[in-house]
Amino acid sequence: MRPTPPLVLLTFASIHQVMAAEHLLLGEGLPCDLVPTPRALSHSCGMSVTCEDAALPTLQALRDQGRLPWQGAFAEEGPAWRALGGVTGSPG
Amino acid sequence: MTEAGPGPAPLTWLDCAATSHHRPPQVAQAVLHHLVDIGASAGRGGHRLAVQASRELFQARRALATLLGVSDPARVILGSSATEALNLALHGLLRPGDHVVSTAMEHNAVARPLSALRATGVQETVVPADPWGRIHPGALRAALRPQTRLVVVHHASNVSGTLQDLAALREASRGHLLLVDAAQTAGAVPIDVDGLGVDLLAASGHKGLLGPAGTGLLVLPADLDLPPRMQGGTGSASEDERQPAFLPDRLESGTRNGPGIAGLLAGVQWLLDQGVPALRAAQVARFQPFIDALDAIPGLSRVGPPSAAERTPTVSIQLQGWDPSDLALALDREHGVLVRAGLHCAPRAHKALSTWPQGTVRLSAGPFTTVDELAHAAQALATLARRPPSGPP
Repeated sequence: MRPTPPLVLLTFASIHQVMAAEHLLLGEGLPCDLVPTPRALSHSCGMSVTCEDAALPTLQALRDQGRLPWQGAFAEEGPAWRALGGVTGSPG
Repeated sequence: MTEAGPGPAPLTWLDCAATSHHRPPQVAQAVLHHLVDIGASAGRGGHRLAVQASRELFQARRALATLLGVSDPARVILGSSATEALNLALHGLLRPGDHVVSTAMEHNAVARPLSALRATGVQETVVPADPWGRIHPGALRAALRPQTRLVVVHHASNVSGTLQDLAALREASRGHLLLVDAAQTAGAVPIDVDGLGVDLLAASGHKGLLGPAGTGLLVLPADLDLPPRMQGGTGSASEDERQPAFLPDRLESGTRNGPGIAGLLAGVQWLLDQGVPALRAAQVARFQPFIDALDAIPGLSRVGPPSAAERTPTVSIQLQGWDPSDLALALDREHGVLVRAGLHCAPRAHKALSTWPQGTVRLSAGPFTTVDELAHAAQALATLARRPPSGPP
């Protein structure tokens, strides 16, 4: 299930966390995709998770439960990504 | 029984304590699938095949965590063998002046690292075993000191098959780190790491877990500061020359064994589908008549407990008048029964069981060993017991 734009992008510390995030989100019925982390967002493990931005409240709830330990959260803004300052934990 | 290569005689594999000759067909299929259809390195790159390899690694870690009762798959460190895992733990945890408690039944995968560490100033107390190879909780408790850094015990002996009472040994060592060598039991006997309160557990991937050789694992607590044995690429935090602090990356430098781990995942998935408790119950039922048959052979002596429920399906024997190596050769050449003779990399255990220095013949079964194969092996031993050894062929 590939998410449709506009997207949010989540970065993680490790590939293991990325894989765990994908497993969790698909289990929750949330479309997501794995993409190479944009080089402008230099931190993280090299892979990131993208989701539809409408899912942001659910993503935040999962993070608050300790089940989705992202480092940074970013919103798609044209060709760039904007750090979501209002989201706890972003950018990492 | 499988067909022999050059000859017509069927082969009976009773060397499962060394490795699993028979595996679910899915294991080989998974290895081939990885090599042919994936052929990429987990965590190295974002293209679809690298992602597939990463998913496989994650699924293997998750399946192992489920099988072994580990709450967080990130605490499962994947490596090449139980020996590597034990070395990682022992060399990482013990420093000169530390005290470690081990047992008289340990395999060289524990005894040799401890020997090397003793040379650096680590002090070791070896808990004796009873005549069946059991470690008694009271004896273990008596060996503890305030400065004991680690207690290391095997879950089952690779020589006698003796199964230790892990819950009782955990209770007796409460307050100290406990490392369990589960090389002989992971996948063969139900294990609940978190439920038992085991701190660290090492296992090989190619025995009871039914994966290919070159796979193994270490389970450890999330908050344990275990230093890595080596540093290097992890596919994470690449901009930083320092080794990552988080698990599993901290202890997994270098590309993982993708084909091996794919096979291991298939083996563990098969175990989860079958259920280890059910497999274990069936194994005990098949193995008890074999032990009873061995005990009825004149001149045959056997080590370890008589009850199949108190052991893994591994048994060590001596036959009067026979050198173990000659007996193993006769079993192979004359009866197609494949076993292992000698000291089994566990001289400590043989000393404790009074089978040092001649060693024993070890016969070890697995989930695919049939009643007919065990009966054939018992009959072969009964036949050989009726005549003296003929010497080298």
